[in-house]
Amino acid sequence: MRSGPRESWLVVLFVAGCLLFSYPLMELFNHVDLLLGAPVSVLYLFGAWLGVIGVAWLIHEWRS
Amino acid sequence: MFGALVLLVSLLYLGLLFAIAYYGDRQADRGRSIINNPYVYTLSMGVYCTAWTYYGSVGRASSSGLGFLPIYIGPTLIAVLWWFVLRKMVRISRMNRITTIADFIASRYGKSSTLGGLVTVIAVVGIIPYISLQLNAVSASFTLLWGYPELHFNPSDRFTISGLDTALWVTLGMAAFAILFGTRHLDVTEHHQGLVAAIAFESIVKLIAFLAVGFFVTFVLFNGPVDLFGQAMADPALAQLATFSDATVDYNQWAWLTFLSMLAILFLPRQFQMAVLENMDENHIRKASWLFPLYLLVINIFVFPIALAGLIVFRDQPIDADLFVLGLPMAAGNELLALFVFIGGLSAATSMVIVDTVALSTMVSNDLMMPMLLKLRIVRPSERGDYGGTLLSIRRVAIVVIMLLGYLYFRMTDTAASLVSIGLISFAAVAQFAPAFLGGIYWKGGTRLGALSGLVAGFLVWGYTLPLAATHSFGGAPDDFLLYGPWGISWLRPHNLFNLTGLDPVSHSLFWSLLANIGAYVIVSLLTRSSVIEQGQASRFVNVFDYSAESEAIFLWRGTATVQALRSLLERFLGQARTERELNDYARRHSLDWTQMHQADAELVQFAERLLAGVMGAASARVAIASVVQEERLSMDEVLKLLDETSQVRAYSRQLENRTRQLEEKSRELEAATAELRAANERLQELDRLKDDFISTVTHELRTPLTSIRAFAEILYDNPTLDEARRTQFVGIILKESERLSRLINQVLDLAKLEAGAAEWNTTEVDMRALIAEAVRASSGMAEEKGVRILTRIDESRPLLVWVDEDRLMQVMLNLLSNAVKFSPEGRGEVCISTECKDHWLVVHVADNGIGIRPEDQKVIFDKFRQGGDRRMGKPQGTGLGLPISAQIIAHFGGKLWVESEPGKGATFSFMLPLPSSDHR
Repeated sequence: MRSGPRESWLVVLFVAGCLLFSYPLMELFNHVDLLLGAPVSVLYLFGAWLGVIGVAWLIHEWRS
Repeated sequence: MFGALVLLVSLLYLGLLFAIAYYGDRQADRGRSIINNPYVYTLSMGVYCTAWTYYGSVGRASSSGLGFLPIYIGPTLIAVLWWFVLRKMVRISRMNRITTIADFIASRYGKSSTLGGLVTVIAVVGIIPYISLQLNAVSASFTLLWGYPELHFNPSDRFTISGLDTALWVTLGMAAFAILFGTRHLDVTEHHQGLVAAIAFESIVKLIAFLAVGFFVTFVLFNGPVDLFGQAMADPALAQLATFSDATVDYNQWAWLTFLSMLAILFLPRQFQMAVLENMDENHIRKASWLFPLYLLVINIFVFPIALAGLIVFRDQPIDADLFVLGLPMAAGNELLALFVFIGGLSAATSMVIVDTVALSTMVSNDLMMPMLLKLRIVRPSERGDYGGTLLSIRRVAIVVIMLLGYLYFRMTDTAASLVSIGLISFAAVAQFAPAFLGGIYWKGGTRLGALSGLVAGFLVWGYTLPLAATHSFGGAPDDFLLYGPWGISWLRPHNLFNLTGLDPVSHSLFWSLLANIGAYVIVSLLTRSSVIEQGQASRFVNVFDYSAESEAIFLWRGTATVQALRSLLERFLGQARTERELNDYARRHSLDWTQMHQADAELVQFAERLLAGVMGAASARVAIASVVQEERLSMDEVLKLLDETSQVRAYSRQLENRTRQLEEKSRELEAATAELRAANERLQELDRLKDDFISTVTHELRTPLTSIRAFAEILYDNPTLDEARRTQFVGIILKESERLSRLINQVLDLAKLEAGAAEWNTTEVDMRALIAEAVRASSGMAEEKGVRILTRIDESRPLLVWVDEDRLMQVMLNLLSNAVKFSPEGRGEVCISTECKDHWLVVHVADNGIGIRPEDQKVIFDKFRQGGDRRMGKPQGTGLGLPISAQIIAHFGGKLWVESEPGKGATFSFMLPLPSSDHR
């Protein structure tokens, strides 16, 4: 398997995603203050989730 | 009445699924695939979202808060790596005609039927709780909806309607459905196009249904998310659900569940079926790896709001949170929405049951029953009979048995257990495939015994800590076995092995089972040696990207078989028509004639084995093939030789690659050459343009004297009575112009000769002093006429010898002198010729005291036909070719000609010639 920059970015995204969804970073947002009508913890999880999907989209679909 | 409607709509929905599947298969038969695009591929992966997601997530969220999410975060993260992992799985499966995940693992470890059987057992046992979950959800939701408009939440009678066990009916109905759907084709490597289309459709239905109820709850029952979250967060008990704590989900559990679901999305039999076996194009993985996570995100957006809403609305009622999704629209009296929601749940459950039973029944028939029947000689390939039909029958029976086992599990275990907790048991079971599977595609050192030991160890630990333990907690109350361990041995407690505390049961089981599994796999693999066939397979799996799709690469086989024996074996499993077709194709590809060929070679045997593998799995195919051929075992040396040949082939392909690269370089060079050619061509065109300019200038220059000659000749001709003085004057002009004309023509010819290099040169030793004196003498008449003095300032002491063509150099000298005389003022003009020797150069200066040459003219006077004088004096003074010719002549002798001038103070033309070295002197 030949790996180019796209492949390297995927690995970076995977590691970043694992960090986003684990203890230290999640604890930062672990409270129920309402932001835009939703608890911060919920917003963080769905936001980070959407972020990972967005970057994956960029890596796969971006025609450089 | 409403119950009847529910039944009717459900049946109509299932009928629609059939129609879609039928249409998909029909289109596929006509060669028009409706599933061959990344969107259908992504939707078919949506089979991941079952009744667990549909009903169970809300139940989970209402007790563990955000703890329902890792099940979807894990797949999102691993999807980022799909381009590496899933693509490799797809490639390997295609090249080896893999039919199931059991086939995959068996095939990797030397087509071991033992391993295939073991994986099948683990998969079936592991998935049964998952199937029971679907039965549970469908029958519970059906019972609830049947009771509409009342809300029956009494657990004791929730699964029976008028004394009938709804779960049993649902079980049988789904089994029938799965049989009709999943056992239409014998060859499992052919894509189930209709099935995939139906599953993709179900993914759309359940998504829309769930979004509909989410919208309804959030925006109709409540005034949007702000209102809903506002009310919920005001209640400390509900607010706690939005945080991570020991009461909901802690980070430890979160991490384990994320990890578990990463493995599940890869190794669940139905995911393997959809993502790997039904994949039509590896490039679809690219789109799916961000689109599928997006699907998961969207279907989960309303889970938490629905859970909070359910907890608020049903605050004082003892209601199963797993049914909030259906209960909320029912409580609001929206029966149509409730019906739609039920259909969505049905689609979620049926898609899972159909795909899983198809995958499991294929495993049972191909990897468990067939090898057993072949080994026990119950099925004898050498005897006549239709074994293809046998395989299909086994699959159909397997589907019914698996469904009934699911039902049994459902009745035996804790009916009060939440959907998610049941499903996680299955997740942990399929996670046991990870070491043998991932080790198998990334580590050549994994052996059959290693994989067997790992799987057995992991499976036993899993069985003890999860399903067995589950049977000991009926009604949610753990018995002594759970609390104090078997025979009171506390370190054997299923949820606290070795007295480990602090982990929930699933994480606990996952940790110990994977520890045992990986440990056994790695250690036993390192301790054992793999067989010949295993090494070949290991290389084919780990280095799959090095093999081309067509190449069979290594024929690790030697033996004898007759074509007839192979043909009848194939006929028995594939049917006569298909066998005929495949063999004819093979003959055409290899230019063979079956009537001439009696003994099968290794390639043909391998071809037959691959065909059989597509129907019955690799391990069974191997046993079947072995029954008709006399095999000789290959020695290690021979294998090494074969591998060596393969590596030579690979080296050859690398050479080819190098050649390709060289060719690319060549083509780049070619491009460079083309560019040069283009530049040369442009230069040529430029020269051509210059030539045209030259010709038009020459023509113009010739016309000027010709015009005046003609004009005066006409005057003379027309006026015979012209007086003598005028006549003499006009004839003089004609003569002068004729001379100019012939001079011009001579010079043009001269220049052309010089430029073409065709001029003749008579190079001799010439004394510059004599040459200058001769030139001065020749010009003296012209100078005197104009009253110009010519002075010479020459070093007379020694000869100034140069190697030149005397006549040519004289031509230059005369040209310079006549120019100088021409441009000197009349009467007081002074031309001075001087020489000097500089290093090895002789420099001759011809200076005048005329009006000089403007700097912008100093360059152009050496161009053809460009005269400085015409602008200074108002009329042409020469041909405009003298200086260019002189410059050419001097250049030919290896010197150069230049001018220095200040306007108003005269001009100095100089040329330098090389002095010959001493031996010429």
